[in-house]
Amino acid sequence: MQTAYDDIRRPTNTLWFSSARFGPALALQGFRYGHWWVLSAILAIALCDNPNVPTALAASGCILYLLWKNKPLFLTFTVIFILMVLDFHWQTVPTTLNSRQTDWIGRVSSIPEINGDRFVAYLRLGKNESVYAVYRIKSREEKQTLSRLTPGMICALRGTLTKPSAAGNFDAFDFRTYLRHKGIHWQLTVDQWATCHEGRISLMERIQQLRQRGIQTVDAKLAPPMSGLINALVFGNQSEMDGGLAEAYRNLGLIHLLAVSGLHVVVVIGLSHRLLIRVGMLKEHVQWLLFLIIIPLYAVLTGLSPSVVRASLMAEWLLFFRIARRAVPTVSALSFACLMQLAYDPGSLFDIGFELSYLITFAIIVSAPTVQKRVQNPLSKTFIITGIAQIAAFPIICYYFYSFSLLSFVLNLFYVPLISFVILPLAIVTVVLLILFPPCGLFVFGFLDMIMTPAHSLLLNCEHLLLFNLIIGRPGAWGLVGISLCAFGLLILWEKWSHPFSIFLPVAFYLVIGFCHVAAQWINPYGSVTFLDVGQGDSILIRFPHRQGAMLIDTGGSLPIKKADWQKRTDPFDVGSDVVSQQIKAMGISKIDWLVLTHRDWDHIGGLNGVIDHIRVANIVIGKAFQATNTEKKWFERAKNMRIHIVNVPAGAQWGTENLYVKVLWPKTAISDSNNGSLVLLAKMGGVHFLFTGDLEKEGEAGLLQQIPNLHVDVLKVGHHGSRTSSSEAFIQAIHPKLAIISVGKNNRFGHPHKEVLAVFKKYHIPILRTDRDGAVRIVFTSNRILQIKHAK
Amino acid sequence: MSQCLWCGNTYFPPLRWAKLFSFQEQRGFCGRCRSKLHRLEGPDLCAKCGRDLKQLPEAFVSGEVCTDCRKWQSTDDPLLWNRSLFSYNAFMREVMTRFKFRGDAILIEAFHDEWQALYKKYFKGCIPVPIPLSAERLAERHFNQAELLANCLPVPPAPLLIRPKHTEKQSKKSRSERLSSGENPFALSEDASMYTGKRFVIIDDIYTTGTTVRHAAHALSTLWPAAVYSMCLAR
Repeated sequence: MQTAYDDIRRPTNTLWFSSARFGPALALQGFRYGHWWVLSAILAIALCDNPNVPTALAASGCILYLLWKNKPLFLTFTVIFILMVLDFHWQTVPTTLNSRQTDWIGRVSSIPEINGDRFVAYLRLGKNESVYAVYRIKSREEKQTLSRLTPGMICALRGTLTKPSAAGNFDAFDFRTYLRHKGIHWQLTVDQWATCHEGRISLMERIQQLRQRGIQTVDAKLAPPMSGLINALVFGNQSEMDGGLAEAYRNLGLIHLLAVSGLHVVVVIGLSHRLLIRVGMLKEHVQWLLFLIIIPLYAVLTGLSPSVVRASLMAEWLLFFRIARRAVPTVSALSFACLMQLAYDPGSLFDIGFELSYLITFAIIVSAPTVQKRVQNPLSKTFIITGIAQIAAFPIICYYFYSFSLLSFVLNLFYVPLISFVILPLAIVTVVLLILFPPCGLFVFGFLDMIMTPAHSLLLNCEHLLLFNLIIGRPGAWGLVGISLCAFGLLILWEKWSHPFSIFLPVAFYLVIGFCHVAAQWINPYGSVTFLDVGQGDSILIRFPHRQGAMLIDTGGSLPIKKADWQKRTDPFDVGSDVVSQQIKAMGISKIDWLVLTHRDWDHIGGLNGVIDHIRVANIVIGKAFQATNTEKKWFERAKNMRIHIVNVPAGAQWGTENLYVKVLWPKTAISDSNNGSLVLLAKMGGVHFLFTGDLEKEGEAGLLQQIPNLHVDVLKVGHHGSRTSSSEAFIQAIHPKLAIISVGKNNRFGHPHKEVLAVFKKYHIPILRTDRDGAVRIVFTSNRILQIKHAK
Repeated sequence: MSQCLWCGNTYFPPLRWAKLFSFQEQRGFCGRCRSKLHRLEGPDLCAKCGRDLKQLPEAFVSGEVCTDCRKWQSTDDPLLWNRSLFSYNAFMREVMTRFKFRGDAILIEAFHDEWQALYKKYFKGCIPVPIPLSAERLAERHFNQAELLANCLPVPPAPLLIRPKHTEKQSKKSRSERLSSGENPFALSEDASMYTGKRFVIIDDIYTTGTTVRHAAHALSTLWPAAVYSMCLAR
């Protein structure tokens, strides 16, 4: 007999009932509080990557306290946190490869990048483990052959696995960590390619091949540097971009334009939508076509960079609800995209492109209603949104690039519409025409070239206006928190304050940041001496406490090697601009007061141009024996044009006070031998005497001792990178330093440092730090003592 | 997510920087209902009564003010000016009906922030004086809508006026009847004298012809006020 309560008692029914209610409730919570879910995922990944227990406890304590008021969110937050931790551990697998093995069979898993004589690709070896493969191409014919490698090919090759190089300098880009976040443990240095053949190709690889063919077509038919720009814009391939130009984009805060960005995806979707409707397709069909084919295809064709994935996932999400005729808040699309991307690849959290893309989009979405309410005309809207994007990106730009261009805002205002709405469509048309009907493509390309050539020369000129470059240095953890809170506060203030003057708030922001930065330097009682890792060569950066100036002794430099045209890279490495000036910026030094060139050897002054192009320099200091050849004379002429004084100092010259000084000891007279004519400096810092010897050899050392018999030295920069022509036993015995530092490159061809020299130091029990083995060495001092000696590796 | 106070549908109020980490559910109108309201703002408002001159035919505009206000200006007008949040369109009429006559008092929460902003923009420092109800009407309605509105303001209101006699609802009368009713229904309360010489803003729900607020302003004029304004939800 059936009772009236039968329905209620049936357990399946109640379960169904509650889950039917629970599902939508959960989804609605995600729409409203999606950014909390993202926060949970980010926290989980950050903690798994670098477990820092006190910070973690503090952060989670704060968040859980906040969340306690909202129990359902508290629950989902915790669940997502746990899921993400599990996901991270599931995705991080230890290596299964044996580093002693030399013969490999690997599957090419990315489009190989060939730049000059350098070949780079990701390969899958063994049990599907990715490695980063590099190869130095030996001949032009081989370059031809290798350019036919495509994703999905299977190659037999011989090569050795090595650990990817860790950062040699402080706060510098760490390639090992970068690869680790991609789940890669090894770098494979290929010695020889055996055979390659096509394997079974997946759909994904097929699209990648299409992309590769496109890139190669552009390369073959168009001239650089525009070919590089087109490849960057259309295919998301930045590797062939001209080095100087890419640097200008980067330094002026326009680098996001070179990456295929979310805006590009929006433009492409918008254009194809309009085109298809115009052709006569039904709106519903267009939506389905975009949803299923065009957006995913475009994402893969442009190389699946984080910003493209973000924009595509967002577009898919919004389109899905459009098709289902449901309204969703835009911000939910962003949270969804972020959670998906992080779940698929937790390491992408550490990608600068990922961070910038999500942060800026979030800022714009949150600010959009206020902008909408406040201004109507599109020009002012662009103005305000550009400002918001700049503020949101500021902490990240500071962290990765150490500096911020004040021109960035103005240039963005101009270049964003230009690139996104004019150049990008033209570039796409060019590529399509190049493939279908080359002469027409070249015609459109002519237009592009006409617009972009003056635009690029403007950029290159702007880059040299160093005055507009706000150098902050890499902020520490608290600095980063401070800057972020400042930016957040500014946005809240801007939202509340509807007065027209509120558009000047960013100016106040930069003033506050700049003021805090300068004030912190005034207060900072610590100075430091950093022996930079510049490979084979010397470069020593000294920052005096209380903003009393900065000195750079030598600039490093790599020997120029004659290269054939096919060997030349589009972005050749230069120690001066890629390492030394970056390190100066990272320390927050905006001006070098004294740039000392000890002598004219290439490994000491080769980076000069790279440094003065990026950092303001007041004086270049040279010794009496500096023998300038024509090259150096030309450089000095250039420096003089940049209003840098060339100062010729005699022995005995001295700067500073009794407790903090730098004194020139050598050379007294012009000496014909370049090395022995090295400018030798004695500095007293933190109550300790440093001797910087340049490349002084035994004869010079003897002369120096004769001149000052009771020379007292605590820290010695070992002469001539530890060559046995320097550091005579008599000299070392006489001065007997407490610490010796050798600035030398790894596996250098001169065999520095020589074992005899090392033996001398060992004999006198003098500890040695070497830049090749220990990385950069930094000695931090206060007014009267040495605080800390640390090295980068 | 929030529920629209008017249609009851779920909607998602946009995220804002100040509320990024708060869980307070916003109470208000969803985008669709909100768009039916016509906010009175911008340069084209009548300098006196605050209505939107752009929505009036040319014939009813006389310089900076509407012709109605021109008529008021020709008399001895105790009211300096009025400002309102929304124009009294068909939708606003429905909202008012539900709010006032059916007692859905929670509706004013949807206007809370803007109402406060309006006060801060035009009437900062004025003492809010709500239009009173007669005892009979209050017993019938259980709340005074003007008082509710006045309570939303950042300054505590002063109940300076009383309505000793029960009169017919203004909304049941025609325009000419309203304008011609000579007798002032308002009187000052007993302790009003301590507010002599202050600036007042009269709070009411609707400004239609402006008779009610002017009656109230007349009643206040015995206090020798520095200025009398009015602030109504709808115009």
